[in-house]
Amino acid sequence: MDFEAAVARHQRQVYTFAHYFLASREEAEDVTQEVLLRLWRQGDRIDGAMLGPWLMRVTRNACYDLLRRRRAGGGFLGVGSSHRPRQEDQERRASGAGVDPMENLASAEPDPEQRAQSADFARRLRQALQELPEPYRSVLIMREIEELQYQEISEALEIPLNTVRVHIHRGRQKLRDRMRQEVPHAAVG
Amino acid sequence: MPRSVERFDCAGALALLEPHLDGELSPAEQARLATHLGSCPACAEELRLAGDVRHGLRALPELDCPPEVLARAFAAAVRESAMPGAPPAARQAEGRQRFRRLGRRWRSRLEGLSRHLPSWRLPHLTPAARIAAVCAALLVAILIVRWPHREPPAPSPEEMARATREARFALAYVDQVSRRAALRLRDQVLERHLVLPAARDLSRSLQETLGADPDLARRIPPRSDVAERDRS
Repeated sequence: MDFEAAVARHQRQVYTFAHYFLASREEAEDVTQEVLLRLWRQGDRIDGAMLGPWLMRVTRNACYDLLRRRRAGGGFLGVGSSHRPRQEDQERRASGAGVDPMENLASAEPDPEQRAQSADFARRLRQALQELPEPYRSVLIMREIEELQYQEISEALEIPLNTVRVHIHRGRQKLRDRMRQEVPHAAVG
Repeated sequence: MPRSVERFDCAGALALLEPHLDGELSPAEQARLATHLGSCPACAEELRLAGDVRHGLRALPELDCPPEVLARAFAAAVRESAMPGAPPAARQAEGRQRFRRLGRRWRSRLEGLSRHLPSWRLPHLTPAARIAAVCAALLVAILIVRWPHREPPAPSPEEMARATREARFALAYVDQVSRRAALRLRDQVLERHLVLPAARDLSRSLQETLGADPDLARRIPPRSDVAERDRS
Protein backbone atom coordinates (compact mmCIF):
# COMPACT_ATOMS: atom_id res chain seq x y z
CA MET A 1 0.00 0.00 0.00
CA ASP A 2 1.25 3.45 -0.84
CA PHE A 3 0.51 5.30 2.36
CA GLU A 4 0.70 8.79 0.92
CA ALA A 5 -1.56 7.94 -2.01
CA ALA A 6 -4.09 6.34 0.33
CA VAL A 7 -4.05 9.41 2.57
CA ALA A 8 -4.49 11.73 -0.40
CA ARG A 9 -7.45 9.70 -1.63
CA HIS A 10 -9.29 9.15 1.66
CA GLN A 11 -8.41 12.03 3.99
CA ARG A 12 -11.41 14.08 2.89
CA GLN A 13 -13.85 11.25 3.53
CA VAL A 14 -12.41 10.59 7.00
CA TYR A 15 -12.25 14.22 8.04
CA THR A 16 -15.70 15.06 6.68
CA PHE A 17 -17.34 12.21 8.57
CA ALA A 18 -15.56 13.07 11.83
CA HIS A 19 -16.37 16.76 11.42
CA TYR A 20 -20.11 16.29 10.97
CA PHE A 21 -20.34 13.45 13.45
CA LEU A 22 -18.55 15.25 16.28
CA ALA A 23 -19.50 18.81 15.38
CA SER A 24 -16.05 19.88 16.45
CA ARG A 25 -13.21 20.83 14.19
CA GLU A 26 -10.52 20.17 16.80
CA GLU A 27 -11.85 16.75 17.64
CA ALA A 28 -12.30 15.90 13.97
CA GLU A 29 -8.62 16.73 13.45
CA ASP A 30 -7.64 14.50 16.36
CA VAL A 31 -9.73 11.64 15.03
CA THR A 32 -8.36 12.05 11.50
CA GLN A 33 -4.81 11.96 12.75
CA GLU A 34 -5.52 8.87 14.81
CA VAL A 35 -7.20 7.11 11.88
CA LEU A 36 -4.31 7.91 9.55
CA LEU A 37 -1.88 6.49 12.08
CA ARG A 38 -3.93 3.32 12.24
CA LEU A 39 -3.82 3.22 8.46
CA TRP A 40 -0.03 3.46 8.67
CA ARG A 41 0.14 0.62 11.18
CA GLN A 42 -2.37 -1.75 9.65
CA GLY A 43 -2.76 -0.60 6.06
CA ASP A 44 -0.76 -3.47 4.63
CA ARG A 45 -3.22 -5.98 5.99
CA ILE A 46 -6.18 -4.32 4.27
CA ASP A 47 -7.27 -5.31 0.80
CA GLY A 48 -7.09 -2.25 -1.44
CA ALA A 49 -10.73 -2.56 -2.50
CA MET A 50 -11.85 -2.61 1.13
CA LEU A 51 -9.69 0.29 2.22
CA GLY A 52 -12.48 2.89 1.95
CA PRO A 53 -15.02 0.92 4.01
CA TRP A 54 -12.31 -0.04 6.49
CA LEU A 55 -11.36 3.60 6.96
CA MET A 56 -14.97 4.62 7.47
CA ARG A 57 -15.44 1.89 10.06
CA VAL A 58 -12.26 2.87 11.89
CA THR A 59 -13.28 6.53 11.75
CA ARG A 60 -16.68 5.84 13.23
CA ASN A 61 -15.16 3.72 15.98
CA ALA A 62 -12.64 6.45 16.73
CA CYS A 63 -15.51 8.95 16.97
CA TYR A 64 -17.33 6.63 19.37
CA ASP A 65 -14.20 6.33 21.49
CA LEU A 66 -13.84 10.08 21.59
CA LEU A 67 -17.47 10.54 22.60
CA ARG A 68 -16.99 7.99 25.38
CA ARG A 69 -13.92 9.86 26.60
CA ARG A 70 -15.84 13.12 26.37
CA ARG A 71 -18.62 11.64 28.49
CA ALA A 72 -16.19 10.01 30.96
CA GLY A 73 -14.41 13.33 31.36
CA GLY A 74 -17.60 14.90 32.68
CA GLY A 75 -17.94 16.77 29.44
CA PHE A 76 -20.71 16.74 26.96
CA LEU A 77 -23.22 14.10 26.08
CA GLY A 78 -22.44 11.23 23.83
CA VAL A 79 -23.94 9.25 21.01
CA GLY A 80 -27.54 10.02 20.36
CA SER A 81 -27.59 13.26 22.26
CA SER A 82 -27.01 16.84 21.46
CA HIS A 83 -23.81 18.41 22.62
CA ARG A 84 -22.02 21.70 22.57
CA PRO A 85 -18.94 22.28 20.48
CA ARG A 86 -15.67 22.28 22.34
CA GLN A 87 -14.37 25.37 24.05
CA GLU A 88 -11.47 25.64 21.59
CA ASP A 89 -13.87 25.69 18.68
CA GLN A 90 -15.95 28.39 20.30
CA GLU A 91 -12.86 30.49 20.98
CA ARG A 92 -11.55 29.96 17.47
CA ARG A 93 -14.89 30.95 16.03
CA ALA A 94 -15.00 34.03 18.23
CA SER A 95 -11.52 35.06 17.14
CA GLY A 96 -12.37 34.51 13.49
CA ALA A 97 -9.47 32.10 12.99
CA GLY A 98 -10.09 29.03 10.86
CA VAL A 99 -13.53 30.01 9.76
CA ASP A 100 -15.72 27.02 9.12
CA PRO A 101 -16.50 26.84 5.40
CA MET A 102 -20.03 25.80 6.26
CA GLU A 103 -20.70 29.19 7.75
CA ASN A 104 -20.69 30.60 4.25
CA LEU A 105 -22.84 27.95 2.71
CA ALA A 106 -25.59 30.21 1.59
CA SER A 107 -23.35 32.86 0.10
CA ALA A 108 -24.33 31.80 -3.42
CA GLU A 109 -27.93 32.87 -2.86
CA PRO A 110 -28.57 36.14 -4.68
CA ASP A 111 -31.23 37.57 -2.38
CA PRO A 112 -29.94 38.58 1.11
CA GLU A 113 -33.17 37.50 2.78
CA GLN A 114 -33.15 34.20 1.01
CA ARG A 115 -29.48 33.83 1.86
CA ALA A 116 -30.19 34.40 5.52
CA GLN A 117 -33.05 31.91 5.42
CA SER A 118 -30.86 29.32 3.75
CA ALA A 119 -28.05 29.86 6.24
CA ASP A 120 -30.51 29.54 9.10
CA PHE A 121 -31.98 26.40 7.59
CA ALA A 122 -28.52 24.88 7.12
CA ARG A 123 -27.59 25.69 10.70
CA ARG A 124 -30.76 24.08 12.05
CA LEU A 125 -30.25 21.10 9.80
CA ARG A 126 -26.75 20.54 11.11
CA GLN A 127 -28.02 20.90 14.64
CA ALA A 128 -30.77 18.36 13.97
CA LEU A 129 -28.26 16.01 12.39
CA GLN A 130 -26.04 16.18 15.44
CA GLU A 131 -28.99 15.38 17.67
CA LEU A 132 -29.87 12.25 15.72
CA PRO A 133 -29.18 9.03 17.59
CA GLU A 134 -26.97 6.33 16.21
CA PRO A 135 -26.82 4.61 13.79
CA TYR A 136 -28.98 7.12 11.90
CA ARG A 137 -26.45 9.91 12.20
CA SER A 138 -23.66 7.79 10.72
CA VAL A 139 -25.67 6.44 7.82
CA LEU A 140 -27.10 9.82 6.92
CA ILE A 141 -23.68 11.46 6.93
CA MET A 142 -22.33 8.70 4.73
CA ARG A 143 -25.31 8.65 2.40
CA GLU A 144 -26.36 12.28 2.12
CA ILE A 145 -23.18 14.25 2.67
CA GLU A 146 -20.49 11.86 1.46
CA GLU A 147 -22.85 10.31 -1.07
CA LEU A 148 -21.69 6.74 -0.50
CA GLN A 149 -23.61 3.92 -2.13
CA TYR A 150 -25.76 1.67 0.01
CA GLN A 151 -23.33 -1.17 -0.61
CA GLU A 152 -20.38 0.92 0.56
CA ILE A 153 -22.23 1.86 3.75
CA SER A 154 -23.11 -1.77 4.28
CA GLU A 155 -19.46 -2.76 3.99
CA ALA A 156 -18.27 0.11 6.16
CA LEU A 157 -20.67 -0.58 9.02
CA GLU A 158 -20.71 -4.34 8.48
CA ILE A 159 -24.49 -4.52 8.42
CA PRO A 160 -26.78 -6.05 5.76
CA LEU A 161 -27.85 -3.96 2.82
CA ASN A 162 -31.51 -4.03 3.82
CA THR A 163 -30.61 -2.80 7.28
CA VAL A 164 -28.80 0.12 5.68
CA ARG A 165 -31.95 0.97 3.71
CA VAL A 166 -34.08 0.81 6.83
CA HIS A 167 -31.64 2.95 8.83
CA ILE A 168 -31.52 5.56 6.10
CA HIS A 169 -35.30 5.65 5.76
CA ARG A 170 -35.83 6.01 9.50
CA GLY A 171 -33.00 8.49 9.80
CA ARG A 172 -34.57 10.72 7.18
CA GLN A 173 -37.93 10.48 8.91
CA LYS A 174 -36.43 11.38 12.27
CA LEU A 175 -34.56 14.26 10.73
CA ARG A 176 -37.74 15.58 9.12
CA ASP A 177 -39.57 15.24 12.45
CA ARG A 178 -36.87 17.23 14.20
CA MET A 179 -36.87 19.88 11.51
CA ARG A 180 -40.63 20.10 11.69
CA GLN A 181 -40.45 20.65 15.46
CA GLU A 182 -37.59 23.06 15.13
CA VAL A 183 -39.06 25.07 12.26
CA PRO A 184 -42.83 24.56 11.96
CA HIS A 185 -42.71 25.74 8.36
CA ALA A 186 -39.20 24.64 7.65
CA ALA A 187 -39.29 24.67 3.94
CA VAL A 188 -37.16 27.22 2.21
CA GLY A 189 -38.45 28.47 -1.03
CA MET B 1 -41.74 -1.02 2.19
CA PRO B 2 -44.35 -1.84 -0.46
CA ARG B 3 -44.66 0.80 -3.10
CA SER B 4 -47.92 -0.31 -4.64
CA VAL B 5 -50.85 -0.04 -2.32
CA GLU B 6 -54.42 -0.87 -3.09
CA ARG B 7 -55.83 2.19 -1.34
CA PHE B 8 -53.54 5.04 -2.17
CA ASP B 9 -53.92 7.06 1.00
CA CYS B 10 -51.46 9.36 2.81
CA ALA B 11 -49.47 6.43 4.20
CA GLY B 12 -48.99 5.11 0.72
CA ALA B 13 -47.98 8.53 -0.55
CA LEU B 14 -45.50 9.06 2.27
CA ALA B 15 -43.94 5.70 1.50
CA LEU B 16 -43.26 6.91 -2.00
CA LEU B 17 -41.69 10.23 -1.04
CA GLU B 18 -38.13 9.02 -0.72
CA PRO B 19 -38.18 6.76 -3.78
CA HIS B 20 -39.58 9.77 -5.61
CA LEU B 21 -36.69 11.93 -4.43
CA ASP B 22 -34.24 9.16 -5.35
CA GLY B 23 -35.79 8.96 -8.82
CA GLU B 24 -36.74 5.34 -8.32
CA LEU B 25 -40.49 5.51 -9.05
CA SER B 26 -42.06 3.99 -12.08
CA PRO B 27 -44.12 6.35 -14.30
CA ALA B 28 -47.32 4.81 -12.96
CA GLU B 29 -46.30 5.34 -9.34
CA GLN B 30 -45.15 8.83 -10.17
CA ALA B 31 -48.54 9.65 -11.67
CA ARG B 32 -50.44 8.26 -8.67
CA LEU B 33 -48.24 10.22 -6.27
CA ALA B 34 -48.73 13.41 -8.24
CA THR B 35 -52.47 12.93 -8.20
CA HIS B 36 -52.48 12.43 -4.44
CA LEU B 37 -50.22 15.38 -3.76
CA GLY B 38 -52.49 17.60 -5.81
CA SER B 39 -55.36 16.89 -3.46
CA CYS B 40 -53.49 16.56 -0.13
CA PRO B 41 -51.68 19.70 1.15
CA ALA B 42 -50.23 17.83 4.15
CA CYS B 43 -48.45 15.29 1.96
CA ALA B 44 -47.35 18.04 -0.41
CA GLU B 45 -45.85 19.91 2.54
CA GLU B 46 -44.12 16.71 3.69
CA LEU B 47 -42.64 16.22 0.25
CA ARG B 48 -41.45 19.81 0.25
CA LEU B 49 -39.77 19.36 3.65
CA ALA B 50 -38.20 16.06 2.56
CA GLY B 51 -36.83 17.77 -0.53
CA ASP B 52 -35.46 20.66 1.48
CA VAL B 53 -33.79 18.34 3.97
CA ARG B 54 -32.30 16.27 1.18
CA HIS B 55 -31.09 19.35 -0.64
CA GLY B 56 -29.78 20.90 2.57
CA LEU B 57 -27.78 17.82 3.49
CA ARG B 58 -26.34 17.45 0.02
CA ALA B 59 -25.36 21.11 0.04
CA LEU B 60 -23.17 20.56 3.11
CA PRO B 61 -19.65 20.49 1.73
CA GLU B 62 -17.13 17.72 2.00
CA LEU B 63 -14.17 19.09 3.88
CA ASP B 64 -10.45 18.74 3.28
CA CYS B 65 -8.38 17.86 6.28
CA PRO B 66 -6.07 20.79 7.19
CA PRO B 67 -2.56 20.21 5.82
CA GLU B 68 -0.97 20.64 9.22
CA VAL B 69 -2.98 17.69 10.53
CA LEU B 70 -1.78 15.54 7.63
CA ALA B 71 1.77 16.71 8.29
CA ARG B 72 1.41 15.74 11.95
CA ALA B 73 0.11 12.32 10.95
CA PHE B 74 3.02 11.78 8.55
CA ALA B 75 5.50 12.92 11.18
CA ALA B 76 3.99 10.59 13.76
CA ALA B 77 4.16 7.70 11.29
CA VAL B 78 7.80 8.43 10.53
CA ARG B 79 8.57 8.75 14.23
CA GLU B 80 6.86 5.48 14.93
CA SER B 81 8.70 3.68 12.16
CA ALA B 82 12.01 4.87 13.59
CA MET B 83 11.27 3.55 17.07
CA PRO B 84 13.01 0.35 18.16
CA GLY B 85 10.96 -2.64 19.09
CA ALA B 86 8.26 -4.27 17.07
CA PRO B 87 8.03 -2.39 13.77
CA PRO B 88 4.64 -1.61 12.29
CA ALA B 89 3.28 -3.64 9.44
CA ALA B 90 4.19 -1.00 6.90
CA ARG B 91 7.77 -0.97 8.06
CA GLN B 92 7.93 -4.75 8.12
CA ALA B 93 6.60 -4.91 4.58
CA GLU B 94 9.03 -2.26 3.46
CA GLY B 95 11.84 -4.20 5.11
CA ARG B 96 10.76 -7.39 3.39
CA GLN B 97 10.66 -5.66 0.01
CA ARG B 98 14.07 -4.13 0.57
CA PHE B 99 15.42 -7.52 1.60
CA ARG B 100 13.98 -9.13 -1.53
CA ARG B 101 15.48 -6.41 -3.75
CA LEU B 102 18.82 -6.86 -2.05
CA GLY B 103 18.56 -10.62 -2.50
CA ARG B 104 17.79 -10.30 -6.20
CA ARG B 105 20.67 -7.88 -6.71
CA TRP B 106 23.18 -10.09 -4.95
CA ARG B 107 21.91 -13.19 -6.66
CA SER B 108 22.52 -11.68 -10.09
CA ARG B 109 25.98 -10.51 -9.00
CA LEU B 110 26.91 -13.91 -7.66
CA GLU B 111 25.66 -15.60 -10.78
CA GLY B 112 27.84 -13.29 -12.84
CA LEU B 113 30.75 -14.00 -10.57
CA SER B 114 30.23 -17.75 -10.80
CA ARG B 115 30.38 -17.62 -14.57
CA HIS B 116 33.86 -16.10 -14.35
CA LEU B 117 35.23 -18.72 -12.01
CA PRO B 118 38.00 -20.79 -13.65
CA SER B 119 36.44 -23.97 -14.83
CA TRP B 120 39.46 -26.13 -14.04
CA ARG B 121 39.05 -25.42 -10.35
CA LEU B 122 35.34 -26.29 -10.08
CA PRO B 123 34.92 -28.61 -13.03
CA HIS B 124 31.85 -30.58 -11.94
CA LEU B 125 29.79 -27.93 -10.09
CA THR B 126 26.42 -26.68 -11.28
CA PRO B 127 25.73 -22.89 -11.20
CA ALA B 128 23.77 -23.31 -7.96
CA ALA B 129 26.62 -25.15 -6.35
CA ARG B 130 29.01 -22.49 -7.56
CA ILE B 131 26.85 -19.81 -5.98
CA ALA B 132 26.76 -21.77 -2.76
CA ALA B 133 30.52 -22.14 -2.85
CA VAL B 134 31.00 -18.43 -3.45
CA CYS B 135 28.55 -17.62 -0.62
CA ALA B 136 30.38 -19.94 1.73
CA ALA B 137 33.70 -18.36 0.81
CA LEU B 138 32.27 -14.90 1.33
CA LEU B 139 30.79 -15.91 4.66
CA VAL B 140 34.12 -17.28 5.83
CA ALA B 141 35.88 -14.13 4.68
CA ILE B 142 33.36 -11.94 6.47
CA LEU B 143 33.67 -13.97 9.63
CA ILE B 144 37.44 -13.75 9.51
CA VAL B 145 37.46 -10.03 8.89
CA ARG B 146 34.68 -9.13 11.28
CA TRP B 147 35.25 -11.58 14.11
CA PRO B 148 37.59 -9.53 16.31
CA HIS B 149 35.58 -6.32 15.71
CA ARG B 150 32.17 -7.74 16.05
CA GLU B 151 29.92 -5.23 17.77
CA PRO B 152 27.83 -6.36 20.69
CA PRO B 153 24.10 -6.49 20.12
CA ALA B 154 22.22 -3.29 20.85
CA PRO B 155 20.94 -3.19 24.43
CA SER B 156 17.26 -3.63 25.05
CA PRO B 157 15.20 -0.76 26.58
CA GLU B 158 15.13 -2.61 29.91
CA GLU B 159 18.91 -2.91 29.90
CA MET B 160 19.22 0.76 29.02
CA ALA B 161 16.89 1.72 31.87
CA ARG B 162 18.82 -0.44 34.34
CA ALA B 163 22.15 0.97 33.18
CA THR B 164 20.77 4.49 33.52
CA ARG B 165 19.64 3.78 37.08
CA GLU B 166 23.01 2.31 37.98
CA ALA B 167 24.85 5.25 36.45
CA ARG B 168 22.70 7.69 38.39
CA PHE B 169 23.33 5.79 41.61
CA ALA B 170 27.07 5.75 40.92
CA LEU B 171 27.12 9.48 40.23
CA ALA B 172 25.18 10.19 43.41
CA TYR B 173 27.61 8.00 45.34
CA VAL B 174 30.60 9.80 43.83
CA ASP B 175 29.01 13.12 44.72
CA GLN B 176 28.49 12.04 48.31
CA VAL B 177 32.03 10.76 48.64
CA SER B 178 33.37 13.98 47.15
CA ARG B 179 31.43 16.06 49.63
CA ARG B 180 32.73 14.01 52.54
CA ALA B 181 36.28 14.26 51.23
CA ALA B 182 35.94 18.02 50.88
CA LEU B 183 34.62 18.35 54.42
CA ARG B 184 37.39 16.17 55.74
CA LEU B 185 39.95 18.20 53.84
CA ARG B 186 38.57 21.38 55.33
CA ASP B 187 38.35 20.02 58.88
CA GLN B 188 41.50 18.01 59.08
CA VAL B 189 43.98 19.46 56.65
CA LEU B 190 43.17 23.13 56.47
CA GLU B 191 42.01 23.66 60.02
CA ARG B 192 44.51 21.41 61.75
CA HIS B 193 47.57 22.06 59.64
CA LEU B 194 47.03 25.60 58.42
CA VAL B 195 44.48 27.60 60.35
CA LEU B 196 45.27 26.46 63.87
CA PRO B 197 49.08 26.79 63.57
CA ALA B 198 48.65 30.21 61.99
CA ALA B 199 46.32 31.24 64.80
CA ARG B 200 48.73 29.96 67.38
CA ASP B 201 51.59 31.88 65.78
CA LEU B 202 49.51 34.99 65.59
CA SER B 203 48.43 34.66 69.19
CA ARG B 204 51.98 34.11 70.34
CA SER B 205 53.27 37.12 68.46
CA LEU B 206 50.43 39.24 69.83
CA GLN B 207 51.18 38.18 73.35
CA GLU B 208 54.81 39.03 72.85
CA THR B 209 53.91 42.43 71.44
CA LEU B 210 51.38 43.15 74.16
CA GLY B 211 53.78 42.03 76.86
CA ALA B 212 56.29 44.52 75.58
CA ASP B 213 53.77 47.40 75.47
CA PRO B 214 51.31 47.52 78.50
CA ASP B 215 49.41 50.58 77.10
CA LEU B 216 48.53 48.76 73.93
CA ALA B 217 47.27 45.79 75.94
CA ARG B 218 44.84 48.03 77.80
CA ARG B 219 43.44 49.51 74.58
CA ILE B 220 42.62 46.11 73.02
CA PRO B 221 39.33 44.61 74.31
CA PRO B 222 39.38 41.13 75.84
CA ARG B 223 38.66 38.14 73.56
CA SER B 224 35.19 37.42 75.01
CA ASP B 225 34.02 40.95 74.09
CA VAL B 226 35.20 40.53 70.51
CA ALA B 227 33.33 37.22 70.19
CA GLU B 228 30.15 38.77 71.62
CA ARG B 229 30.35 41.65 69.14
CA ASP B 230 30.86 39.26 66.20
CA ARG B 231 27.82 37.26 67.18
CA SER B 232 25.62 40.34 67.43
